[in-house]
Amino acid sequence: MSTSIYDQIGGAAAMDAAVDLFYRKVLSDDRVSEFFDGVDMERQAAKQKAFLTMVTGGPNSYTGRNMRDAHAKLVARGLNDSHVDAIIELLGETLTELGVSAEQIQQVAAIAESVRDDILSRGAAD
Amino acid sequence: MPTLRFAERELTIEGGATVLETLESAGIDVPNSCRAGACQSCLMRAVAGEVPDEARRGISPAKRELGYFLACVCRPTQDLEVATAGAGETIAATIAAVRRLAGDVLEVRLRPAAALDGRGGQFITLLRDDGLARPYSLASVRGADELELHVRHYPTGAMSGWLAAAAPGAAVGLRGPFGECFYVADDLTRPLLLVGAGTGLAPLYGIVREALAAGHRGPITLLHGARRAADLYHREELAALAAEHDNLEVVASALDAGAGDGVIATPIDALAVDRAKDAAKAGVRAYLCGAPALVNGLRRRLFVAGVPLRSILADAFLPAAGGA
Repeated sequence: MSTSIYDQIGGAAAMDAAVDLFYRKVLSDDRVSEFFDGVDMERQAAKQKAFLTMVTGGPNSYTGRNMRDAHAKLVARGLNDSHVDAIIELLGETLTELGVSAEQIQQVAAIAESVRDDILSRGAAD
Repeated sequence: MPTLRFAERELTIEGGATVLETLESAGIDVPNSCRAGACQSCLMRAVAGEVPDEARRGISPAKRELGYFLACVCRPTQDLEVATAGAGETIAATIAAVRRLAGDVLEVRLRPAAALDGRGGQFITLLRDDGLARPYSLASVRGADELELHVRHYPTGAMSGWLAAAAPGAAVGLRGPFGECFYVADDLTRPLLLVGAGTGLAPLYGIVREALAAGHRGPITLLHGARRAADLYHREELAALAAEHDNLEVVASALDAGAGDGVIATPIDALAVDRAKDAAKAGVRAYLCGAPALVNGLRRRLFVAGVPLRSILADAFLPAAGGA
C-alpha cells in the first residue's frame, strides 16, 4: 500500500498551511474570488480543509449531497465549469508549492474532477 | 475505563470511543459533520481533565487555552468533564461609575459580585433587570477588580441611553466571558498589529495592556480610527503607555484630522495593510475590532497580504436590531 499524498505532505499537521496557501490563491484570483465575497472566512477555511483532506486521500466522510447543497446558491449566481477549472488549477499550484509531483497532482485533479457534477448540480444526487 | 462527565451525567468511555460517540450512545445530540477532525462543527470545551493533542489539532491557540477541542476525534485516556462550547450563567454586578470619554463614548465600570475570569478583548453580555441584553468588549485586564467597558452612546439606544444616566450602585447581570480575541503569550517577540475603529479600541486597550504586562517584546502597533477626531479617546493613556514602552507605537486617525493635533487622516485599514506586508514575514498576530465592514474587509486583505488566517483575531461589533 502506498502512502497517501495527504500523509506525504505532512498529514493533519500540514493542512492548515496548505489551506492558507490554497485559499489565498483563490481570493487573489479574479476568475473566482467574487464567489467568496461576504463569506465567513473561518468556516470557509474549515470547508476547504475538509476538501483538501478528501482530494489528497486523507480521512474524510465526503458526501456528494453536502457538496451539491453547499454550492447550489453559487450555481444560481453563475458558477460554471470555467470556475471549477480555475479551482482545480489553483489546487495544482498549491500542491506544486508543497512539493507534490506532477504525476500525483494528476491523481488529485482526477479526484477533484469526480465531484464536478455534484458542485455544479448536474446528474443525480448520490 | 475512563469516565466522561457532561451536564451532571457520568458516562463510561467504552474501549477507545470518542467523546462524540460516547455522548451519542447516551442519547445526547452534539452537532457534527465531518467526524474526521476537520470541520469543527463538534467543538466542545473541557472543564476538567486532559484532552489528547490530536483532538486540539487545528484549534487556534486562544481556543486551546480555553479548553476547546473536537469531540469527534477526542479519545480520552483519563477522566474528562466537558461542556458545550458556549455554556454559561448570569453573574450579579453593580455599576461602579459611568463617565464620558469623548464625543459619543462612555466608559462604564462594573463590579461583579463573583469573579469573572475575563481577559482584555473578550466580551460579556450585559443584562438589565428587565432582560435587555447587549454584548460589550472588556477593556480591562484579566484579574482587575472592576470591569471596564467602552460604550458608544446612541441617542436612541435602549441600553446605552440607560447606561448614560445610570446611577452608581445600579444592579446589572453579566454573562461570559466569551470570545477568543485576547492576548496569548505564546511568543513574546512576534509583532502585534492592533486595529480598532471607534469603541473597537475597548478590546485593544485590554489586549495591549495584557501584552505589555506579560513582557511582550516584539513591536506592537496600535491603530485607532474614528470618523471625527472628537470621538477618539484614551489618547493620553495610550501616549503614556507608548512613552513607557519603546516597542509600542500608537497611531490615531480620523477623517477630519487637522494639522498639529497628532491625528492623521490616512484610514486605518490602509495603514494596517501597509504594515501587515512586512509584519507577516515576522509572524505577526493581528487583532481587528470594530464595525463588521471594516473588520471583515480587513481580515480578507490582511490574509491576502500574507497573514495566516489563524493569526488574525477579529471581533466584529454587530449593531443591535432594536438600537444599542
